[in-house]
Amino acid sequence: MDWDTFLVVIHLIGAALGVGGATFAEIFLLKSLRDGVVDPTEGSFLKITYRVIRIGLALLVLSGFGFLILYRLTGLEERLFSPLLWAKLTIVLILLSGVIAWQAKKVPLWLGSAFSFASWYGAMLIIPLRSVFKNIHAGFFDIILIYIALVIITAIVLFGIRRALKIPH
Amino acid sequence: MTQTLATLLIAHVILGLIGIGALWALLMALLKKMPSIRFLRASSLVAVIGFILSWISGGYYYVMYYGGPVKAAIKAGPNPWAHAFFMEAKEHVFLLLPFISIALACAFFFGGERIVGDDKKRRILFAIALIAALIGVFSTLSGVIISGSVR
Repeated sequence: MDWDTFLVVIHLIGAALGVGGATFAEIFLLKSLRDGVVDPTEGSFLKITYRVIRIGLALLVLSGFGFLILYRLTGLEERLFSPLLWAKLTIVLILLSGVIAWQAKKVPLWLGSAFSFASWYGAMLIIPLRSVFKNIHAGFFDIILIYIALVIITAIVLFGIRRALKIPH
Repeated sequence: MTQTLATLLIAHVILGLIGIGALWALLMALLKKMPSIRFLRASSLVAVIGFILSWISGGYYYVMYYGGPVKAAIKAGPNPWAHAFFMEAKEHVFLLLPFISIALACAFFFGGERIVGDDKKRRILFAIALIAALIGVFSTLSGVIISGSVR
């Protein structure tokens, strides 16, 4: 197996764990908050899910930087200035900062969930959608604007679900 | 570039990332109501080891290779500012990281339970770790810009 394939495999596993973890974290959270309290069993499920997300994040970041090193060592340095790459780096940084802000209780739960959900899906979808972004000549700020729109839409959808399930805020 | 230099460049990046990851874990732990002192000690120690080894591997690569053909290629390329600003800034601010990490590790190893139980001291250590993590992120992103400017 060459380095490129190895990194792709690790990156995909990281993305799968992160996106899957973020999705199930939200489902578990919505289910646990229906009665207004998170009991110990629900809490332990959430704890395990957050651990899976962190493992996914570590794999994603390490393999992501593995790609950057590979580009540098194989003469593909121009890829390091790709707007897609910088948008992805920005989204991952927002995700990491968001986790700290959420842990410090500086952001409300609904906003933290929206950022986590949208960031994971955004980071995963950026690369498969690269041909679409290329066709519309999307630059860094265009991609970030799309990401912000995705966060807002996610927040509205999650807010709607919470209201429909009569979950207290 | 020789195999040794390529390995050193890879080690510099990965060890730096491990150091930043350890600082991030430290920040998360400091926000808990009752953080585990063992975890704080372990993560601060990982940060110290990561940054020192990243410093040594990056320093050797800089002296033996970057300062010659790489620097010249960047200066002659489309983004000479990548060296003039980002490398110059990186090589100075990065130096703070091993020492801030050592200070944090000393606080957790010698301060122990006294620090964990004191909200004010924990907040101060959180701020110091946050500054170190931000310097780490700046250094990492600078590295991407510098590497991307080698044409």
